[in-house]
Amino acid sequence: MSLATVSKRDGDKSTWDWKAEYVEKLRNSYYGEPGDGMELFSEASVTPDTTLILAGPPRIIESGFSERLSPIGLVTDLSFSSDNGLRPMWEMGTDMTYFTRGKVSYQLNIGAMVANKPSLLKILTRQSPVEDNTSFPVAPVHSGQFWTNMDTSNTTAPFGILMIFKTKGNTEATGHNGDIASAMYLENCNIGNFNFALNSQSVSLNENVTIMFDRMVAVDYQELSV
Amino acid sequence: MTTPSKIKQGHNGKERLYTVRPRNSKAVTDTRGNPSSITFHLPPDLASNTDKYKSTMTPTELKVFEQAANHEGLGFINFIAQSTSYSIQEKSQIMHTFGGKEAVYFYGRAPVMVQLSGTIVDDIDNDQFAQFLAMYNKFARGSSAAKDYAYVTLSLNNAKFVGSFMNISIQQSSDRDTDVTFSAQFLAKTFTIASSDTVFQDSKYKLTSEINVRDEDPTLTKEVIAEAISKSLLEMVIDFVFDVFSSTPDLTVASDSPERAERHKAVFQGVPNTFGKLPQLDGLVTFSAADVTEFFDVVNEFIDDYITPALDLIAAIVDFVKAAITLIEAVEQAFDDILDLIKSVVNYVYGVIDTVTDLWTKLVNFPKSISDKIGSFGKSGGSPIPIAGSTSISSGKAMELLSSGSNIGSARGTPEGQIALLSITSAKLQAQLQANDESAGLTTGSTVPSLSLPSGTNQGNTGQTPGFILPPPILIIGG
Repeated sequence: MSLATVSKRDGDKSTWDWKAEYVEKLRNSYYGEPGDGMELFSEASVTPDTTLILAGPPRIIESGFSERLSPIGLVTDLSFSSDNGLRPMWEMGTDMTYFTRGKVSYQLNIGAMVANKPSLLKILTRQSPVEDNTSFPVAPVHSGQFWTNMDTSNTTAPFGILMIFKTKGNTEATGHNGDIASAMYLENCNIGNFNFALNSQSVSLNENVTIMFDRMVAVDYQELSV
Repeated sequence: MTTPSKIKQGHNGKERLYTVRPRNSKAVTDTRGNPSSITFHLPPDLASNTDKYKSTMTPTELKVFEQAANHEGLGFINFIAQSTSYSIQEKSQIMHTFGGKEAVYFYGRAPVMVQLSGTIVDDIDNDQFAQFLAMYNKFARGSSAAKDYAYVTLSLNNAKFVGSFMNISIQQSSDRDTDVTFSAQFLAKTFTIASSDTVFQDSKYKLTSEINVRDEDPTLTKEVIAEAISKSLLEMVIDFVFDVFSSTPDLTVASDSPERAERHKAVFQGVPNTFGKLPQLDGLVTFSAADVTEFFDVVNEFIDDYITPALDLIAAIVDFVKAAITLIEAVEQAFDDILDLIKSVVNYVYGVIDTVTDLWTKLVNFPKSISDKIGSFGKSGGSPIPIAGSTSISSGKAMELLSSGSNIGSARGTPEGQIALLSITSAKLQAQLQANDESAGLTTGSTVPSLSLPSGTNQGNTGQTPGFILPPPILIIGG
């Protein structure tokens, strides 16, 4: 049985039945009543298996979605961080703390295995405009699939990233092969750091990029067709 | 977008900094804010016909001019303003006075110097570096703007400054070719601060709460100067002088009153036309140097009629003050004389007292002083005096010696002076003296024989110094 939202008229829930009541009310099915909580977690949780990353144009507003989004494979690591420069202030004579925020800085780290497929540098910048009034990039200066030079006109061009977080199971009526928990587009991404490492004890070569971007735009997943 | 509104600050609406949202908050604008911009304002006659003005521009300057002169658009935004600082000061003079207080005179608001710094990217796609410097050199710097009676507006997100640039400095380093930092100083004749309430308007350009720090455009316009050229300088000065001195100077007229403005306008309208070019005086000035001299002579006489009585009054006051001071000093001097006289009398009295004291001292010490003299008779420098002759002398002989006096003195100091060692007739005393002579050593002169007088006699000073006792006379001279 799930805990309902506490309203000020009802008072606190200090006497809740911790054996029988819990917070999360995952549904039994997309038509069902609120379910039994953790028992449905495997169906309703966002997992790495159900997370997709695609590379696209730098700005979503102008370009919109099209076939120009390229999915990124063999991703082993994905980390995201944002910092809004929160700064506390204190005033003489009072014990209050005031907060002001700076501008948010974002950072994304993507790690992937290297194989005979477009590497991170290649696929992230595939759809980026490099020349004026050109939708497609010029002939790359790299050869092969594994790009390692981030100091080229291709790899210095900005790009965008679409991230979609889905669940394994459907708990909502609109779900298709799982529910979309969130989708966001990262605009004006720029690669700030690229590295790869070999280890005699590892079975694969891994590469890693650090990306900073301008802003995040929420994507209405109801209209998204992946 | 729904109509934006302010967020209630706390449960009672009075909690400070409950929410802090910047002017470019997404809740109030969909443009992600406004960049800093520079706009260039030409006078109306030039602004309406810029062809001739643009004919001397390079393509880059032309591109910049098109942006900067477009007041309907954003203006010139090809730079990244990253920091700014300015201080607003008063023109004042602090006069320190006696008594620990001070008087402060205020002369209005000092010009505001705005420090602007940021980045101008030097790259092939934006060309900010070249365009910004072209804008500065051709339009925005003070000399260029003043040449065409133009001014520059520097707009930030929360304030707008009107004035012109004073200087700019550029910094560039080898590690980042595209990043060129700049810092500039902008002299603001006036500036406007916009309340953040403006973001809650129907149009983002509609300002409902402007704070004008100074009146806009206080400098003379070209039209005012051109109008002044047609009027002779002599007439302007005369009007001004009579306007000020013809009636009682009304110093209570407010500084911003039309009456005073008219006076000032009359003065400044006489400014000769030297802006932008140096015209020939022939044909522009209708008066000669002699006219000016004659005029100022008249003015001088006119002013003198007002000033002379005042000066006379001041001179009379000075004379009166001087006389008063002289009188006071005379009284002071008289007092000093009296007090000095009294002081001198007092000093004389004290002197007399000292003299009387000396007399008593001498009287008291007279016997001792005599005995000292006799005791030190013949001791020039302390050298021993050989004793010759009898060691004793009768009392009659002693009296004879004493009465003569001169013999004692005459023998004093002579290397071979014969000193009569007189002793009392008492055998006991004589024996004691002989014993003392042997033990103490009379040759040094530092010790003298001690004297133990028989009972009944006045002992006087016993011990080191010989005593002089009368009667019976007991006189001991020793060395």
